[in-house]
Amino acid sequence: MASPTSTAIETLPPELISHIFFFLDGPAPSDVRLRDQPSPSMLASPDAPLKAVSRVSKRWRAIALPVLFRHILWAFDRWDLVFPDAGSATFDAAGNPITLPLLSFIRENNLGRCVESLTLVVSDRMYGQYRLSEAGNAANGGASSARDADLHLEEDMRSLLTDARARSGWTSRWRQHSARSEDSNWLWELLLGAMDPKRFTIIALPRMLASLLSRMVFLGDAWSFRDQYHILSLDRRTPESLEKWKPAKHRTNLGAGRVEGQDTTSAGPSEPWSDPTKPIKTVLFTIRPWTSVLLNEGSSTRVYKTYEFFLKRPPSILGSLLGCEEAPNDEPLIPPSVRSLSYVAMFPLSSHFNSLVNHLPQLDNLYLQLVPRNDILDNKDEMRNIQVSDLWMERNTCYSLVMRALFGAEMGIGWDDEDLDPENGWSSLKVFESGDAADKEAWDMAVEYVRMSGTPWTVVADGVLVKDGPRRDSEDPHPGLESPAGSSDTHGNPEDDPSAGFELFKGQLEVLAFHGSAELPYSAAGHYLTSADELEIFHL
Amino acid sequence: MSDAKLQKILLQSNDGVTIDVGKSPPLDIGFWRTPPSLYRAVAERSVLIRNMLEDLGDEGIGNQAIPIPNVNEAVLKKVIEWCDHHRNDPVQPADEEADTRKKTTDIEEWDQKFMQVDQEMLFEVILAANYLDIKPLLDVGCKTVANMIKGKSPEEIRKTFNITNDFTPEEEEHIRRENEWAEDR
Repeated sequence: MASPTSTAIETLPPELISHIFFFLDGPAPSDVRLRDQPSPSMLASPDAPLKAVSRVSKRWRAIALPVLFRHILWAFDRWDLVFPDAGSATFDAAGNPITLPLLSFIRENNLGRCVESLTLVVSDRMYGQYRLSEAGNAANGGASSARDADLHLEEDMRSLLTDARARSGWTSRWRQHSARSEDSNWLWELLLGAMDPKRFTIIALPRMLASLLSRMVFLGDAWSFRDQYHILSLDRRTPESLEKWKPAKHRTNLGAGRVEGQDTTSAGPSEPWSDPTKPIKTVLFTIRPWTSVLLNEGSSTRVYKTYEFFLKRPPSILGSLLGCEEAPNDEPLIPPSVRSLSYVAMFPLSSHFNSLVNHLPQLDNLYLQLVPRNDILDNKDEMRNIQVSDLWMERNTCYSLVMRALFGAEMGIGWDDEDLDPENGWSSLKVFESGDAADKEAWDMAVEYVRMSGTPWTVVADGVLVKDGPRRDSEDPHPGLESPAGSSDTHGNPEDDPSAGFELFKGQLEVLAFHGSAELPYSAAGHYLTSADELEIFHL
Repeated sequence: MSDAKLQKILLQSNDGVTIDVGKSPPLDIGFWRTPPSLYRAVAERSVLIRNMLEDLGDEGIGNQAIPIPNVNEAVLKKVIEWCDHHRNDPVQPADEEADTRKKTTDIEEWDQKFMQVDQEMLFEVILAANYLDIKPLLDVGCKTVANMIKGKSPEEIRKTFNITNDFTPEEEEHIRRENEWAEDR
């Protein structure tokens, strides 16, 4: 009496098919690649088994969709928003579409509650030459570069408009748009009304990012940085590094309390007919209680090919995020609910990076990554006309600025610097993490210093310093891997012997973590050392 | 440990065959241990059987065979073979499993060989593991199928599992465009 019908995969119930699909699922590209070199196609992957199974049969598609659409990737041209393709598109009074094909699809398949992350890749086939409004509060701080393509653009634009006029009612839409400043709040409200992602990411050119956030961006030197895409990512989950290091005093109710406080600013979504001269406040940063922000500016290496590269200013929304530029960029976009900031850039100019150092918001966790993880340094084409030493000198300068701010916050150094915002967040920072290897020379000096000084710090791994806070009192203070000899007697409680050494990092910082340590091609010792005396290591 | 644990555990497949779980106790256990508790360790890989044994109590088991109405003899023997090999595996805590399972479709060597069966048996084992509530075996089965899917195009997947394509060419084009809204995974 064998089973009457042969058992095939189609006899498995949906939950078992779904369980099989579960094993096809790995981290999404956006989970692992947001710190890579940004480009419009950076999230593409040749291997997509979930997409494959979703195309096998109707039954399989129905089972696969909720898993597949956990991570949405919407690549579009900004002009397609203004002039949607479908003749059926409908608009609200302000001339904004009331739905989008993506959102109709999400709604039809009831996928909104499955969405975990939403990534927009926004391109601009007009190269930023044309904007929807001439009002002064949108992107275009400086002149865009002169392009050979100007004539073609004129033609493109004309055809776009003719095309638009061919469909009924388009010219009036155009006029409505022109009358207003660029305001993308309708888009954020539309998108986040249909789904509730934990992470929201935009991959676009900096001028597009600024435009989407209704901010200005300086484009005067943009040509020397070429068309480098940037990534802005907002996340609501506890960042990995805070999970990993678990600082002693977890700030309770991370989001809730603080976000309530600023509801007043976010409550009023832009009114459709607001004064075009009044700066528009983007609601994106407060529409959800985001706790982490990532800005990835990609490679700055191309600017090093230009004369007096150090005088250049990259196109970036960093100043807007921190609120350290002239209006409308004088109010930080990063809301107080954000406790973690990741800044990734490949050899940023130190003058640009300095604005982050000087205006660091109040954070628990800062992640920096300034050195490429790809093989760009071995790429002869990319490196042509670049003095490699320039790259490393800028990198060293950036880190010396960070160290001065970090150590200065503890020791009162550098506070006479008038550029330094006295309200900045260095003294409240708990976890400093770098995706780069520490400079071996400086690291060894720091390790030696920690070993000698009797400060409550331990080297727990290559590149990682951890403060022995109250949370470790019950445990044995484990000797540092790097300094086994100095463990027992130099590791005393500073209260026992207040005179022992410098009391380094008395503030909030609990973790200082580098991605190991390595010999740099160019020494940074000059940045750290002004005297042979060990106690002067950190005196700048 | 009461002597009742020395009792054998009998299972009856849906085709009426009684199978003795402790029929051939493996030899590789230490001589100081009590082999009979082994029968239970093997049978209790199945949460369904474990709950049943708990409900029945030691006396209730007697020498009666426990009916397993959804599984035939060949499959039940295969499942017991797996439980026997994995009788000493640590039980995975429920909250951790979601994480650890997600990471990999790697299958240990013995399980790979164990799963080298025709598709019919493979799916029967998956169904039985699901019915008997043997999570690790269910996972091994589903991972095996997942590995058969990986790297294949939709058409190749259909061929492998003999699935009919019920999409029209227009629908195929349509879903291809819809899929562009999802990340590649």
